[in-house]
Amino acid sequence: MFRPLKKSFNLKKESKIDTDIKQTARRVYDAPNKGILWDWEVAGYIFTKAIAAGIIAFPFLFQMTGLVKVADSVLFTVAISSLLFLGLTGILLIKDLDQPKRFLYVLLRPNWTSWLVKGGYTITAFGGLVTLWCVLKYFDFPIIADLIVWPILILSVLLAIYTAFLFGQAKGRDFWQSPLLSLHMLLHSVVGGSAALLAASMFLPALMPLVPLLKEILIWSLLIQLLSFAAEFLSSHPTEDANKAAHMITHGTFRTAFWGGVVLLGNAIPLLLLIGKLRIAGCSRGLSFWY
Amino acid sequence: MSLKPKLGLIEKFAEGIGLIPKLNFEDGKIEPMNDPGDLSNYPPPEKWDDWVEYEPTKWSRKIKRHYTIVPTSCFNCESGCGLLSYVDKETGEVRKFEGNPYHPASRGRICAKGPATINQIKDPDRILHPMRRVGKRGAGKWERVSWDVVLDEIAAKIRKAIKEERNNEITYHVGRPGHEGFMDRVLQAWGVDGHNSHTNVCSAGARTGFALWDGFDRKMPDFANAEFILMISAHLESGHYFNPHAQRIIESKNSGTKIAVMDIRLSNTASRADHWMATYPGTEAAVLLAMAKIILDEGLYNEAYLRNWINWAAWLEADHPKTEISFENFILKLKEEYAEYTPEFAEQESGVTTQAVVDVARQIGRAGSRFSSINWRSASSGNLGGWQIARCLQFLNVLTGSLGTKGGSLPSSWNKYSPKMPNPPPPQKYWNELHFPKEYPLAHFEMSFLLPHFLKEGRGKIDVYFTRVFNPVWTFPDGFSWIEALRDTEKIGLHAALTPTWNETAYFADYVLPMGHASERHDIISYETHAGKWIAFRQPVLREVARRNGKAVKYTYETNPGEVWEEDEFWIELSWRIDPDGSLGIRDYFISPYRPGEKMTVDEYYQYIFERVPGLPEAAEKEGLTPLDYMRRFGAFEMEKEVLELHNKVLTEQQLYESLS
Ligand code: SF4
Repeated sequence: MFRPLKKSFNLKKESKIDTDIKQTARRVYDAPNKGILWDWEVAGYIFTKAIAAGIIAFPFLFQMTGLVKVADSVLFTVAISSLLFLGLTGILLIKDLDQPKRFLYVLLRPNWTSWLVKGGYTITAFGGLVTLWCVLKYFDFPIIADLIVWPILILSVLLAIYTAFLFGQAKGRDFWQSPLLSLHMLLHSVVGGSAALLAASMFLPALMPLVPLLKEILIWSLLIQLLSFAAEFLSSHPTEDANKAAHMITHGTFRTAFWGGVVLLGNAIPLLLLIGKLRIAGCSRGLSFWY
Repeated sequence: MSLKPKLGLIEKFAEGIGLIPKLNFEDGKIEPMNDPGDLSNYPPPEKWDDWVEYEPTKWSRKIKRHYTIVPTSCFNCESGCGLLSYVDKETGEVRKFEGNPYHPASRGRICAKGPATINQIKDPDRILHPMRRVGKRGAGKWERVSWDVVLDEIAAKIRKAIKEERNNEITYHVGRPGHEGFMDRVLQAWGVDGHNSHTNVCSAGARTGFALWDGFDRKMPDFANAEFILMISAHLESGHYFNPHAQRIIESKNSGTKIAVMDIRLSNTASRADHWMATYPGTEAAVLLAMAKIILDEGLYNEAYLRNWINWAAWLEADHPKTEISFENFILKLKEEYAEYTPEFAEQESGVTTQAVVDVARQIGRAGSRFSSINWRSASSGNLGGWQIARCLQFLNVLTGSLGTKGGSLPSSWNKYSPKMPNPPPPQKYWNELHFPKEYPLAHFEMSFLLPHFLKEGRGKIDVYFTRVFNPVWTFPDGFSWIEALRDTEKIGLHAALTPTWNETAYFADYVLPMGHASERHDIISYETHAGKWIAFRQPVLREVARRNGKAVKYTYETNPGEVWEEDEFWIELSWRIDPDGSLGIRDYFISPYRPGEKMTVDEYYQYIFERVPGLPEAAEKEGLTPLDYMRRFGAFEMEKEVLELHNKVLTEQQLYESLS
């Protein structure tokens, strides 16, 4: 073992260049930590975000269009639930960042060309308006509250689909450059929202008036979703990498999760059950997003 | 251009209320760099015992690796830069090499070949065990043998030759020695004139030119302090000590020194020049002579220096006996002598414009004693009469009085330490005409390229031929003559190739003996890289790690990959076996200086040397270390920072006497 060095050791030589480098050195980049594949947080936040948007959109839309008369208590409950799912979305988004400590930079040092920023603001605005709606409702300002429902509905659509634009900006990820992506995202929300509401209806009788319409919506959205899968996976993609990714999903590493989880458990079985008029539509929830 | 970014309203507001930190681009402080760790330029020695770095292959998972850092010296060119070997404490594996910032010559800055040592030690094709030829020489068939067998068989042959007084039949032919004097000592101990080199296809031409002036066959330009530098050929990238020199040349350039380069190629060196003179190959001397003329004609010469240090009176007397002997007449006659070498003549010869010749000559003259020059090497080695180029170049240093001065060109040996070895043997009493044939009395080094021809002519034979870091079949002109000679077992009785890897010459060997790379061997190194004087250690790093861990190691091959050995121990063992009973007197030179009668170990050899390096024992004591441990730990020691103007030092009686002996 070395003996500890005495202080007198003075071999250290520094040229002017060394000193200059030291004085001016600063880190200008961060080491990305996340690896090539997106981790579970990304899938998770697409899931929670879809429900946050869908769960509020249908009751509010039915109410505003007069399609169904929705009780105030239901509106209130879905608004609070939407905020909860939105909160979860936020936590997952922050967790997914390489530098979670800097999540505020996304909003406060905004790069307006990035959909990460635009999406961040969408979430913030959506959450803000829903909260405001709750407050107005609580303190009984129904007219003003009604006024902000339409903006909430528009933002819920944006909330549902902005991730498609964000993925589209990840130019290296060929598979996500698909023009169908915003449709997929919208369908996620429609399926997620309607399925969540149907599942909740088993415990909340106040939701019952919405059930017939929701069932129809779920059946159609599942059908369209299955068709969109077919369009996505049976057709050829513009680049080789996108083809490889599609092949990985349908025939490779993810084939069990895709065929068993997404297609069968998440879409086909719920669809059959719904068509068979069995009231366990809630099972379609959850697994519809994993691809 | 301002680097200051424009802040948007939101950002300004958020910074204003302290939600996010302020980016102050004015003073360069963005955020403290505390992740992954304070930026340090290099590991300080007090942390070498346990240096922590993140595992690069697991980037960026931040997995910590603990290293013990062992200094050694690069062996991939003559510079011998200081390396630090990072040995994983857990696996005992050498993971990487970086520059040793405490090395006085390379100062931590190494070229790409230094860290590439890792590729050499992990080369899957390297030779891991001693191999002996099976079948005909050159047939490419080998069998693995033990070091014991190798040593016994070769020793028996050498012993026989020495006993039969065929001392000239033993030859050690080396390309890149990479150490100070070890082998000369061995050959002298054997009493053979057995040293051969590659120098005559490389630097001998230029060396001759310099040596004819003052006996020093290389110059050490003090680039760091020069005001004007003239380089002939591509020194920055291909000269001896190119890296330690290059960093000082570029530092000088950055602080205003001007550089002129003569090279027909737009080499890396030429590309850094302020004046690039693309001389036709071999015409450099014409330009140099024209510059000498300009310096003389314009009175830019250093009169005081010339008066003191040039035997001008003797020259006048010899060449102009009718002229009165005075310095003024000397200059007058000298001008006449050089009158024909006009800048126009130089342009005609070399293609360099008159204007450029005049311009550079004036700058050299003005730089005076701070004019540094070097010729390494193609101009001298690649052209007939190339030695005159070096000779003419030194004339400029003489005229400007820049020999031995700060910023001038120093005799190489001023800045190179010659180690004091234990029990030095007397010089050999043989003259080997296969190396220095009588018809070449002015040969400055061995006429090595003629060796196969001499053998073919029947001038002699070689009974035992060692090649080391030397591959003439590939690198010498006329490789096929080498193949012929090497194939002929009548001409070369035994050929042992000491090499870490296969090469074209090893293919024609009887024994291929794997010797270690930079981190697998012992050597000492001292070169003229700057005005200081230093010594450095090359050591087998895994052996040193074993020692640090308290494990006893007898021979370096115990810790090297396979049975890869090192020359030092090989020669000691071989010498011991050549003279098993001591009757040849060879053993005496391989006896431990510390344990009478017992065989010297490699540690004792270096211990003896380091104990005698001026200043090293004292420096080691300050650290609480022995001199050997100091070198094991730090890898290098600078004994003097500036060795200048030695010619102006008055010698004591004793020194005068010693200089004569
Ligand atoms: S310049 Fe230094 S690092 Fe590069 S090969 Fe030569 S000795 Fe090694």
